[in-house]
Order: sequence, then C-alpha cells, then structure tokens
Amino acid sequence: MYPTAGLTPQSSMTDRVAGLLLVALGAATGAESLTFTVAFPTDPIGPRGLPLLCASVLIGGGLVLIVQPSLISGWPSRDRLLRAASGGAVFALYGVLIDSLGFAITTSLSVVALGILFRGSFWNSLAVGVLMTAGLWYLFQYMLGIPLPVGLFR
Amino acid sequence: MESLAHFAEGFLIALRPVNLFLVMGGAVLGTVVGMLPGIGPINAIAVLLPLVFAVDLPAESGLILLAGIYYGSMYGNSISTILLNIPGTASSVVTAVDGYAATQRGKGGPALAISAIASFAGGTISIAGLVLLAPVLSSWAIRFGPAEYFSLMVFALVVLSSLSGRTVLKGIVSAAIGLLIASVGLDPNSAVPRFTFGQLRLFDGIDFVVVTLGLFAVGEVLRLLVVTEPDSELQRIVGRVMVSAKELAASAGTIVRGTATGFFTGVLPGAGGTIATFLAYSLEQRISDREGTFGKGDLRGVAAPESANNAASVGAMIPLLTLGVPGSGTTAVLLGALLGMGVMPGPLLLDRNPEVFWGVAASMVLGNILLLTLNLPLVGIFVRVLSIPRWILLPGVSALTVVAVYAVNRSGFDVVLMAGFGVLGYVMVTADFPLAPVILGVVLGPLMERSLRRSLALSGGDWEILFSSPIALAFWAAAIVSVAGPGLVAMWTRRRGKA
Repeated sequence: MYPTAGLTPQSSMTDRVAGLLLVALGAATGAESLTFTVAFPTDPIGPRGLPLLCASVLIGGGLVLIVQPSLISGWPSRDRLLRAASGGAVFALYGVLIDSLGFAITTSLSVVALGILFRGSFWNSLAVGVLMTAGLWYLFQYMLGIPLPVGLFR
Repeated sequence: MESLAHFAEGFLIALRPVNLFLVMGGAVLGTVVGMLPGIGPINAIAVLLPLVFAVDLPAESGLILLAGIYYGSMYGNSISTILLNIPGTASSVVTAVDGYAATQRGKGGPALAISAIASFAGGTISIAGLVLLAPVLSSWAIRFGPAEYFSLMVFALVVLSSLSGRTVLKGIVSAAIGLLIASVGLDPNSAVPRFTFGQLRLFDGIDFVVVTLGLFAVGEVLRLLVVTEPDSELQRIVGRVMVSAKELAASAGTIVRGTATGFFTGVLPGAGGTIATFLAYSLEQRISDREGTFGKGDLRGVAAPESANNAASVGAMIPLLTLGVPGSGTTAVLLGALLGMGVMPGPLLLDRNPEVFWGVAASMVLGNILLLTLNLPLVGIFVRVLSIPRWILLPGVSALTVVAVYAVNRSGFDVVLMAGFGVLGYVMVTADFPLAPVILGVVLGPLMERSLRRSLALSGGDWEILFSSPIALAFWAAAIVSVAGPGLVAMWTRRRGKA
C-alpha cells in the first residue's frame, strides 16, 4: 500500500535488528518488572504479572525474528531519514520550549521548520507559520476558551 | 418495539441544535482531514480527538462529534482514493481498483456519487441491525464475569493482531508493546509505580491521547517527510457527481449484499473494514461480473466495498458499546475517548447511559443523511483541499496536533512523549509492525489486567477459573484458531501445491 520509491532494496536486516531490539527491550522491561513487589498482595499475580508476560512475548518474538527474518521493503536513504529525524526533533523541541518561549513563538518557529522540511521556501513557510499561529490562537483562546502560555510576552 | 421507542428518543437527543451542529461539523471536518493523502479514519480521529476533550462536551455530544468525524473521514478517504488512487487505509484499497479506473475513464463523478450512495445505504441499513442486535447482546453479556471478560479481551487482541499485520507474530508483539505502555504509572491495585523511572509526571500513566496522536498523527507526518508519493495528477472530475437511475438500479443488489457482508464482518472483533471490503468485492465479482468489467471502472466494484466498509463500521460499534471491547484500532480510539469522557461502555451502558447509546445511533442516521446531501453537491469544493501544497497542509495539521495535545493536560512533557511515540510509530510502520494492536493494547491493558487479577483473586489463585465457563472456553478456542489459523492454512495450501 505504501510507495516504495527511493527505498533501499529488500533485506532481512530490518527483522534481525528489530529482533535484537525487541530482545533487549524485553529483557530490560522484564528485569524492571521483577522489582515490582508488594508487601501485602491482594491478588496472586500482583503488579508484575502482566508486564512479565509482555516482556516474555517481546523476547520470544524477537528471537523468532532473528532466526526467521522475512524480507522487508528497505529503508529510505540516509538524508531522507535525517529529514524524518529532524521532523521528530521539531515536535520534541515544541514540547520543551512551549512553556518558556510561549505559544506564539514556538508554534510559528515549528511551522516554519516543518514547512522547510516539506520543501517549502523560507518566506512561504514563514507566512504559513504566522497565519497558522494566529488562527490557532484565535481558535483556542477565544472559541474554545483554553488559555495558551504567553511565555516571553508576559 | 421497545427499541423503536428508545430510538425515537435518540432522535430527540440527536436533533438538539448543539448535537446537530456537532454531527455536521464533525462530518465536514472529518471529510476534509480524511481526504488528506495517507490519512485514514484513525489518523483523522486522532488529530481531531483533543479538540473533543478541549471543548468539554457531555458524553453523548462528544461521541456524536466523534461519530461524525469517523463517517466524514471515511467518505473523505474515498474521495482521495477514487480521484488520486491514494487509499489512506487498507480498507479503501479495494475501492481504489474500480474507483480510480473509473476516474481514468472520465467517470470519476459517477464513481464518487455511487460511493456516497453506497456508503449512505450501507451505514443506514446497518444502523437498523445495531438497534436490533445491541440490546440482545447486552442482555447476554450482562452475565459475563471477569474471567469471561478476560478471555474476550484476549480474543479481541489476538484476532486484531493476527489480522492486521503481514505476520501474526509482529501483530502480537505490537499488542504486547501496547500493553506495556498501558502499564506505565501507578498500579491501580497496589499503588506500586511501574516503569515511571522516578518521574512523578508518569505516575498517572501515559494519556492515551498522547499515544494515539504520536503513533497515528506524528508518525504519519514523519513518514510523509520521508516518502515522496508518486506524482498523482489530480484528475478533474469529469461529469457531474451523479449516477443515472439505470446505474443505480444496477448497483442496488450489490449495495444490499455489500451491507450484509460488511455488517456481520464488522461485528466480529478484529475483522473490521478491510476484510469486509475484500469479502464484499470478491463476492460481488463472483455474482455479478458477467462481462469481466470489474477492475476496469465498474461502478458495482465501487459500490460493494464502500457499502461494506460503512456497514462494518456500524457493526464494529456493537462490541464496542455493548461489551466495552473494541475490535479495531479505530473503535479502540473511540473507547479511549469514551472512558476519557467518563462513560464506561459495556452491557450496562444501555441502562445507565441510554442517552449515549440511542443518541449516537440516531445521530449516525443523521450524519449519513447529511454526508449524502453535503457531499454530492460539495465534493468539487472539498477536492480543492487536495491541491493545497504539502508544505502548507502538513505543517498546519502538525501545529494543530501539538497545540491540541498540549491543551489536554497543559503539559509540554506530553508533547515530548508524543514526539517519541511518533518516532516509534514511524519505525514500527517501516519495519512492518502494525499499529492498530498497539492502540488496542493501550486501551484494553488496564481493563484486561483488572479482570485477570479480579478473577484470580476470586478463585484464590486457581487459574482454572479462566477456563471454567463455556463462554470463556469458546473465546479461548477462537483466539487459538485465529493465531494458528493463518499458519495452518498456509501449510495446507503448500502441501496441496506439492502434491
């Protein structure tokens, strides 16, 4: 269903790496779950039961993927992955900065950054950023009555 | 008969100006968002979900809005499928076959019209099924104890996992990841903190809105940053968005069959829209494709999956509302939304919150009528959204997403978490892990754990209680069949191929 243009050729590496990661994740969560102890248990399996079960599913599933990987349509080239990683960073930075910089600055900066990542020109993205920020401010502050942080404009 | 009286009351609720406005607004918003390339109903609901919480609506109004968005986005999805050949979800892949073929032959208008009419008919007819079947199922499920619930939830999770991915294994792993995400926070039974890493902010657990938006909205934006969609020229709609009486008559039987197939497939957990559309299409091909026109723009090839898809979405509401156990990613998101609004779906819903159930059923009818009357004349305007460049559209949608998720708890930490889930979602999709089981795991996790621990507390630690009633045994058997089934079928066909 997804287009495959610009991807590396199919390989079984993806499944192998995913398997390794799952085994590691399963081991870590399993070890962490063992520390969930209760002085007076109210039920036989306690807080660690379900997490332990899930951890073993991850480990088991990971092992199967390592041993029996299937071919997966490949990964995008490095610069495209970098583009996606930058996108993720924009979202994360938004959360880090919104309380100190405030809604207006953070939102317009993020929209400009994403616009450029989506191959828009700087000036076009700036225009979108400013308009979008104003629109969202109006929507949240006035129409929905949800106050947004003003940050530097305090 | 009693159902009919309730249903009439439901209309009184649905016809309140606020609710009428919400279903209309939801349908229009859903259509526009659902039309965006790559965005299916679940992504559309995810993007618009925080708004529902932000406005602080009563439960029935909230669910009416969500149902409007749901139906609108399915229709919007059909528009981009038929005109652009970009199915936003697996359940519209089948529609693309004849829908896009029709567009290329200059019959995009009639294809859109038949899609609207088939969706309307499929949705409306199956609401009758919902109204008749839901009370029956409710009164049956009222006898479920925690052991039955636990086996039912395992069944739902396993079926969805085995059907939504390319391999059963990856689906199950996805579900386990979802359950682990759900266990973050203080354990409700013993108040032991789990996976909180000493962060007080994680003690309440991770809001399911954060997970949903991360996986389905942010993840999709990241994917679109990487993938350059093939240049799909937006075909102009040639001809009016209308079908002739002859074409409609030719499709009438198709629509009825598609509706029946879709509704009953939708009721089953896990099966949902995708299987319903494939079943309906292949059934129809066998019954009515006498001249070999299917796949070449036959309108019946659009009518069958579209009616089935909408009927399945109504059918899927039955286990959600009467058992409290969703069978698909989209209904899992709806369940999370309901819990967030303080409504506990389940067999008691019809007694305790009749306004929710009947109001929603009635507003689904209104929503369907509305979508039909809005979409036939307005589709030309909606389609213009598709020609807005990505560098305007996607940063815009992203900004709405971040602000909305921030507004739910007024927490920048939530936005950071959402970004993390976005990366996880992108990586999982690229490595071929399905996302729907994750979200079902997140929503069902707490309920599953509670019913498991409650049944074991009841039995004093005797695991036999989980297998002690015929209902529970039936669910276990069904779960095992759905895990082992695909493998067995594959082995069988391989063996036959060799022989």
